[in-house]
Amino acid sequence: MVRRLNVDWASVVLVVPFVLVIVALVVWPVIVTARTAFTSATFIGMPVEFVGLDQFRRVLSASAFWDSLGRSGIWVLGNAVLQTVSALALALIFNRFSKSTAWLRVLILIPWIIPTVAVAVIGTWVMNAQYGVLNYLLKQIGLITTSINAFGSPDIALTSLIVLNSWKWFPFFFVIILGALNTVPEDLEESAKLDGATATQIFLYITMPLITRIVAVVGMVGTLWSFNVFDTIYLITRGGPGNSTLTAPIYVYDMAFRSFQLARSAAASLILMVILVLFAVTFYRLVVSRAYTER
Amino acid sequence: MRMMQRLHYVVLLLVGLLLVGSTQAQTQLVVWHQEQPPHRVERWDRIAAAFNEQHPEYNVQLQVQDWGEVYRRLAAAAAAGREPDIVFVIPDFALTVRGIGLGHPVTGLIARLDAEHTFFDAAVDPYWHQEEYWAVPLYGMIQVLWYRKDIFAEAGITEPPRTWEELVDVARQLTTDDRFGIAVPAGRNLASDQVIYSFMVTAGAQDLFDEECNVVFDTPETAATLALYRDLLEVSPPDATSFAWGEPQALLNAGITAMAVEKGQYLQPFEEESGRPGEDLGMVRIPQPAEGGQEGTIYYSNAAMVLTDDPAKQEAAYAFLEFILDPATYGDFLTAEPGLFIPVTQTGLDAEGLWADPVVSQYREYVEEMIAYSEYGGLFGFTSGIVCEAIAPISQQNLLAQTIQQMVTAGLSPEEAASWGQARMEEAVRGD
Amino acid sequence: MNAYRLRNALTYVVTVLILLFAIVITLGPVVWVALSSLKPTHEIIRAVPTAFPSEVVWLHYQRLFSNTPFLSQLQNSIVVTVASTVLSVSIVMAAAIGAYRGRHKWLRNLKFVAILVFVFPTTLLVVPIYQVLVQIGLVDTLWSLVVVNCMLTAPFSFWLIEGFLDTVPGELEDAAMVDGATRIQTMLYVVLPLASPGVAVIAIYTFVISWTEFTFSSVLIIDTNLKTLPMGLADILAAYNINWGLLTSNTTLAMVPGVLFFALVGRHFISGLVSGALKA
Repeated sequence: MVRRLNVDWASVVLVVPFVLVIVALVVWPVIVTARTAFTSATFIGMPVEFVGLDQFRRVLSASAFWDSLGRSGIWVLGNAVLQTVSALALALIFNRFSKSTAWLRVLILIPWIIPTVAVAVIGTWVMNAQYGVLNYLLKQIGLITTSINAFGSPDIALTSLIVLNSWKWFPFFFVIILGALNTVPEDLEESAKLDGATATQIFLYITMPLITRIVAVVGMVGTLWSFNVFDTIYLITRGGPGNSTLTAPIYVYDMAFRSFQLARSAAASLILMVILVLFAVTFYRLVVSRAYTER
Repeated sequence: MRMMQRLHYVVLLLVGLLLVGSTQAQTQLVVWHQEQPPHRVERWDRIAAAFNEQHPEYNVQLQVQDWGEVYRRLAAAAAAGREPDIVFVIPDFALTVRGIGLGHPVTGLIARLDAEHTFFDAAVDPYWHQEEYWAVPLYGMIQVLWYRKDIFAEAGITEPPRTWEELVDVARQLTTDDRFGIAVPAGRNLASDQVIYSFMVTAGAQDLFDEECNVVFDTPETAATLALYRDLLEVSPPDATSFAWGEPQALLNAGITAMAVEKGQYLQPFEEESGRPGEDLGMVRIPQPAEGGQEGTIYYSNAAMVLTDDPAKQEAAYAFLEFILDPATYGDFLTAEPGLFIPVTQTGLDAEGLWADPVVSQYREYVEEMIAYSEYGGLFGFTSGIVCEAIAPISQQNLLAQTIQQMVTAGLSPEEAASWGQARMEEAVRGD
Repeated sequence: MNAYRLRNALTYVVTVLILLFAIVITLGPVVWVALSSLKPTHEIIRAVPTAFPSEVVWLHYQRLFSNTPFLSQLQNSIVVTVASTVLSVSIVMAAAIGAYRGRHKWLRNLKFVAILVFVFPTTLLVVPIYQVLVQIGLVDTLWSLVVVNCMLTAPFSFWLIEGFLDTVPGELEDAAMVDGATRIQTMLYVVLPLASPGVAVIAIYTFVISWTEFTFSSVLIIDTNLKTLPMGLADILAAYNINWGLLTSNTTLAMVPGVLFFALVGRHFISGLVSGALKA
C-alpha cells in the first residue's frame, strides 16, 4: 500500500529563510564554539591542537569566572527588579489617565529608542562625579553632601550601571504592562469598588491576577535580555574599577579579545549557555506556564 | 527632458566606470592609525592626499582605529584576510602584530632613511628584534607634569614641584572642597599604565625584565612608586579609578584640578576649553624622589609596520613612509597634534612646518623642552637592552593599571600590590 | 463627602506629580545633553553648571560635520536599519504564514524554537558569529550587520506576530479561496492587511534594535568607511581627549532620527505591542 505523503510544500518553503537565519547565526556558531572549546586556540586562525576538557577545567577552577557569574547574577536580579517594578508602578499610575496620555507614552519610550552608545554618553555625562548635573542637583536640594562617585567607586559602580540600564529598558516593559492593564475590564473594578473593596484589595484580587502572566513573561524576557547586556558596561567601565563590574559576558569577551585565549573563552561561553538555558526552562515551567494555566 | 535625464545617467555611469578602472590601475594602500581625534584624522588625511597627488601611481587610504580595540581588530582582520597594508604601532603592539604572524622586516629602509635623516636611538631601538628592524619610527611622545599657573598663584605657590615630596605636598595644599590637587588616572587602561610608569622611571624602577626576560617588577622601587601613586590618588578626584587620558585633561582645563601628568596634547585645546590665556598653562619635567631619584619619564616611539606581502604594495608603503619623514611634509605631519608628536629624526628637528605651527610657536619653549627631555625617556618592557616578547600580554591586560587598582579597590599595601603585580605578570607570560 | 473629595483631589495631585517626576527622569538626561551641545566649549564643564547656554553656539555641530565622518556613518546606519527591517520583516512574515496558517500544525512548534533563541545569550556568540561570517565571506560588509540584526530580531517578532495572525478568522480565508483566489492572493490581500498592526509593530521593533545595535557592529566591521553611527560615537567616547562638545552634539544627532521616526509611528507601535503581547 502506498501512502501519499501530504506535505504542504508552500508552508515549508516559507519557513526556510527564518530557519536558515537561526541555523546560520545561532546553531552553527554554537557548534563552532563547542568545537573551539576542546582545542588550544588562542585566536581566530591560529594553529590549534585538541586538548580535551582542559579548557573547561581551567575555567571551572578560575575564581574570576565564578566571580563574574556572581556579578551577572546581581546584575540580572537588580535589573529585573528595578525594571519590572518601575514599569509596573508607572503603568498602574498611567492607567488612571488612559485616554489623554497617548503622546506621553511615546515620550516615555525615548530612552529605549536611543542607541546604547548614546546611553553610555548620557550616563557618563549626567552622572559624572565632578561635573555631572545629577550630583549638582542632588547637592542643591540637600539630598547628598558629597558627590556620588557613580562609575569610579567599586562599591557602587555596578549599581549605577544597573540604574542606567534600567533607565533604558524600563519604558519597553512599561508599555507592555500598560497594555495588559488596559485589558482589565473597567466595570469589574467599578463593581468591586461599589461592593466596598479598597484600592489595595482591587489591585491584589482583581488587577494583579489578570496581569500576572504578562508580568511573568516580562520578568523572564527582561532577565535574560539583561544578562546579554554588554555594550553599556563595556563602554563605561570596561569591567572596572577593579573587577567590580566585570560580568560574565565581559569575562568571555576579555578572555577572547584581551587575553587572546579563544578556546577558554569558548569553554566559558558553553558553560554559561547551559546555565542560562536551564534557568530559562526552569523559570518558564515554574512561573510562566503556571501563570498561563491560572488564567 | 526624459532624454536629458537618461543622458545624465549614462554619463554618470561612464564616469563611475572610469573611476573604478583608473583606481584599479593604481597600487592601493590601506593604512591603519589610531589617532582618533578628528583634527588629527583630518590633517593626516590631507598628507595622504598630498602623497596621492604627487604619486598618481599610488593611492593611500588612511583608516582610523581605536587604541583600546586595535589589538583584537587587527587579529580579527587578519583571520578574515583583510589586514591593512601598513599599521601604526607602539613597541609592544609591534610584538603582538608579529605574534599573530604579520609584518615584514624593514631593515633596509631604516638604513636608507637613517643615512638621510638620522634616527634617534630611543626611537628605533625598541623595534630591533632578531637581527632586524620591524617598523619605521614616525613620531615620539613623552609625558610631563602639567599645571595651572593661575591656580598655583591663587594658593600662593610660586614654584612647580620638582620632587615627589613636593608634588604630594603641593597637591595636598591645593586640594579644597571643590578642587583637587592633581588628577592621575587609575582606570584599567593604557593611560594609567603610562602615568605610573613615568614615576617608576624616576624611581629607578624602569626595568620590568632582567636580561633573561624574567619579570622583576616586585622591587622596593616599584613599591615606593605605588605608595606615591596611592598618595596622589588621595588628592585626585574619587572617580579617578575610571579615568583614562581624557578626564584629567578635561578637569585641568575646567579648573577642577591643578595638575596632571600627560603628553603634549594639552597645548592645543587649553585656551578654548579653559577660557584662560595660554600663559596659565605650566609644564615641568616629572618630579623625582628627592633621594636616589633620576631624571626620567615614559617615551613612546610610534612607528609604522609594513604588513603587505605584495612587493608592489611594499614599494608603495616605503614611498609613503619616506614621504612622511621628508622634512617638507614632516612638520605638517607632526603638528596634527602640536606638541604631542615630537620628531624622531635629526632632520625633523628643523622641519619648517613644525615651528611654523601657531600652537607650537606659541608654546615653543615647552615643545623644545619636551624634545630635550625625551633623551631620558623609556618604555616599560623595553629598557633592559633586549626586547622581551613577554611584554605583549602584560601590556594587553594593562597589568600596571590593575596593580594600581588592587591598592584602591582591594586595599592592598604598595608592597602587597607589587607582589600581586609580579605574580600576575608571571602568569600572563606563561599564558595562564 | 468633603473629605472624600479632598482625598480624591490629593491622590490626583500626587499622581500628577509622580507622572511629572517620571517624565523628568526619562527625558531630563536627554534634554540636558542636547542643551550642553549648544554651549561654548568652556561653558560645557563647570563646577556650577549653567542650565541654558549663555549663548547658543553651533560650533560643535559644525565640527561634527566638517571634521568627522558623521554623514557617512549616518548613511551607513540608515542603509543597515532599512535593509534589516525589510529583510527581517519579510522573513518573519513568510515564516509566520507558513507556520501559523499552513496545514502543518507541527510547524507551529517553531514558536518554541523562537522563544529559546530570543532568550539565548547572543552576546556570547560574538566571536563564533565572526568566525562563521568569515567563512561565508560576509565579514566587513554592511550585509553582515543586516543578517545579524535579523538574527537578533526575527525570533521575538515571530513570537509576537502569532497573536496578530490568530485574530484573522480562518473562515475569511476559506471564503476567499472559494471565490477562486489563489493561496498567495489570499495571504497578500486578505490575511496581511488584517494583520497589519502586527507588521507595524515588528517593523518598528526591528528598526529600533537595528538602529541602536553596537556590540556586533564593533566586531564585524573593520573598514572605517563602513562604520555606523553608534560606532562613530563610541570612537569619540574612547578618544584620548574627551571632547564633550563633539560627544554631546553627536549624541543629540544620533537620537534625532529615532525620535522623529517614533514621533510618527510610536503610537501604532504601542497600541500594537499592547494587543500583540497579550495574545502571545
